[in-house]
Amino acid sequence: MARPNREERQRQQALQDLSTGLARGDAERAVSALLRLPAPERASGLADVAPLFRATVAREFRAGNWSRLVSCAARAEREPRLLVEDAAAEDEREARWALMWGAARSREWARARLHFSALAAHLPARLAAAIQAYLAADGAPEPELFLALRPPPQESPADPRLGYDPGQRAASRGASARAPMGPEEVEPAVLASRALLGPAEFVVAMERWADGVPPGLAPALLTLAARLVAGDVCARLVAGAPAWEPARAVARFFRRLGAPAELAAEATLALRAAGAAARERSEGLGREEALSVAEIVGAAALHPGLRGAAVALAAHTPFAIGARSIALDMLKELCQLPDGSPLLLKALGVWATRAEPGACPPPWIERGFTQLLDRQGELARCLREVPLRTQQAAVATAPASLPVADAERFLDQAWRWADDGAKQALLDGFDELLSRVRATQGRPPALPPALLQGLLLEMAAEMGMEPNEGELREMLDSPMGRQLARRMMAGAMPDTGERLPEVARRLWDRFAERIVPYRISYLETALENSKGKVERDRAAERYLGDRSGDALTMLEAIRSAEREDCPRASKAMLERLVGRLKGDRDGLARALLEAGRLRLRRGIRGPLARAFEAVDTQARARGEAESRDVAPARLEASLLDRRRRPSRANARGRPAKKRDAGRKQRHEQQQLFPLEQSGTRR
Amino acid sequence: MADKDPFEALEITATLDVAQVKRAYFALLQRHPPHIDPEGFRRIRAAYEALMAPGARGLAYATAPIGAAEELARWHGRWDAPMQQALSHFNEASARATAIESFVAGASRMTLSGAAAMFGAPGLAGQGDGGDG
Repeated sequence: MARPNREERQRQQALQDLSTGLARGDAERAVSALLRLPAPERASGLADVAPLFRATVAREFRAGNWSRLVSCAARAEREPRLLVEDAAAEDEREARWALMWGAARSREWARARLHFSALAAHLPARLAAAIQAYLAADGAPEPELFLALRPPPQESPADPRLGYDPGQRAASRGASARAPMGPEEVEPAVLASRALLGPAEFVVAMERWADGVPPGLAPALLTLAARLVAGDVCARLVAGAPAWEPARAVARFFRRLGAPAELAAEATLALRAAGAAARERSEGLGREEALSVAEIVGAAALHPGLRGAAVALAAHTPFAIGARSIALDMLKELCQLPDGSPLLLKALGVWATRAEPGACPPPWIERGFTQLLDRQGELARCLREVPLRTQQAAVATAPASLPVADAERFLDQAWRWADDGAKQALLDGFDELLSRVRATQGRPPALPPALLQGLLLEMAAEMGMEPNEGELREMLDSPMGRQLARRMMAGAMPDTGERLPEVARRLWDRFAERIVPYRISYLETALENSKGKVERDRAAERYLGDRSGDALTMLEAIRSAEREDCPRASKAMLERLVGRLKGDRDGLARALLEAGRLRLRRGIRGPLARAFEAVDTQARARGEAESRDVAPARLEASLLDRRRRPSRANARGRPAKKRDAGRKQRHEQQQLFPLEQSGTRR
Repeated sequence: MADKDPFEALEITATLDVAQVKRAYFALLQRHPPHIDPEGFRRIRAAYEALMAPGARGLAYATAPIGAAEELARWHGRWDAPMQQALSHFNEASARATAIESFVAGASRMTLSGAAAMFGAPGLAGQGDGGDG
């Protein structure tokens, strides 16, 4: 038996599908099979398929299934008899009506217009005109025609049990303006949105619009939006509520537009709102507020006219430890702007609040300082522009954490700016740097936390304090606390008395001239490292400075040297004092008495007494008149001299017998130093 | 942060303009000369110095109290009318757009005979609405 050809097989299959579709009432299958048959052979099937097709169209129309109706319309175009076969004229028109709306609601305008053309003559004039306009304009006709039409019933009935009110839904749906598509639409659309939406929704809508509108429209849109949001900033301030959110929105728009001059007033308002809020805070800003300040200040600083105010606000705003990373990000951005250099000092302080001991600052801070220090006088300017606590933190941190070369330049330049108080802090910084150079050849010394903690506890106990764990942690976190602990540790370590190594010597030589007058320990170091008498004399002269003419001041300096365990300094100053008073009986007398009053040791008073006795002997031989200090001084000198001589017991080879001073001697001393003697007895 | 507003002491609104600060200071100096009103002079001098110190003017400006009520009144004066007008236009346009939308939504859920009856075709009116119910 011959195998049927391909067309015949397809025809047989189509006939079978048609039969099955009709038997099952499956219009989809039946119509599809019918359309696969050659046109002349469809007639027999049409009588059954067409009513089924029209019934399906009616059902899909009632269900509002527009996509299915579009495919039905396509089939009706391939076989128009599906609509007319054995159908009354009204049935045919109902089917076309359904197919027209299916195509129109699916935005297939050409197909919808095709079915409408077959219907138009049978529609009421107003209805036909409206549909004609709607389809001809591809769904966007002029609305006048429709306003005149009586409104049709709602899509779904109101159901109070569900709380559903179609009227309300329609109202809310109508309450969102459309994004502008042309320049002339920007202002009406933005203004209408501002009138319709709440402040936060308005900001979100504007940002969404700015992302979606044609590129040229975004600037005008955001400019107007920023001006309108500025009103919300004022409204919040008037109401006494925080204005962070609208101020941040203004800042975002301002930044996105590249900080245009026309929005400077709005950016200023945002900045001042942030400033007013920060002013109210006595403690550091938390994360949320820090984010707001960072956004607002960062945007304002982009405008040259506002940069100074933005930098000043950033420099004076305190941040909580939890907001440290946010603050650092902000400062990093601001430091890169012109005039942002003062914030490097702030950044260093903020970084140091939680830096591990011995850690190095981030590279951008180190780089920034290198560049800052390259510009002569810039550091001093920056230090003047930041608040005292930032100055203190920077001065305490920089010498300990910057690379040695920069730390040295920092001290050098900051010295020129510093007043006496700041110089003391810089001297601590110098000590820190010198110890770094000495101990680790330039690396910051890393102290074990347990040791630090122990030292701080000890210090607190000496001050009568018992810090809890949190307070101790806070002390350890602060740069000044760490510096203090380091100094304590340095003090606790034995002084080897060695001369400075070469690298430290260079550092010392650079600063010695300036720092020696401030601390006796520096004079001691200078004397330790001097190469001869000339250098020693110069160091002592430098330390004494204006004080060298005043014996009392010199004696007090000697007492300091004695207390600080600086024997070289003590000896050098004593030599200078004796040399200066040489031949001055009255001066030596006063100095000797003052030395006694200051309770300097005999090793200091002895040379003074000998010098006095020498000049006194000569003066008495000449019969010179003596001042009222001379006689007590003579007595003091004789007492010192008596103690200096070996006792008779010693001269006989027996040990000296210890005993109190004799009654006469005690009486004499009481005459000389009545207060001290009575104090001693007590 | 500063405790007092130096701009207020100089009787000017917050500004970054040095010249304005100087003008205000010298004008006040004539009213409060140091030999007649030492206290007044000290006050304005302190304010002037606070504003002339490096970086201080920027900070004082950023943290000075804002005349928010005046700013808000100005804002309302500038924007209320245009916003009202835009809202009216929007409502009008919205009503027009709603008319089209409502028509399409309604008509596309009616049968042809229902639509003809609804929109008043004398020949078809009263033939019933066989559609959506």
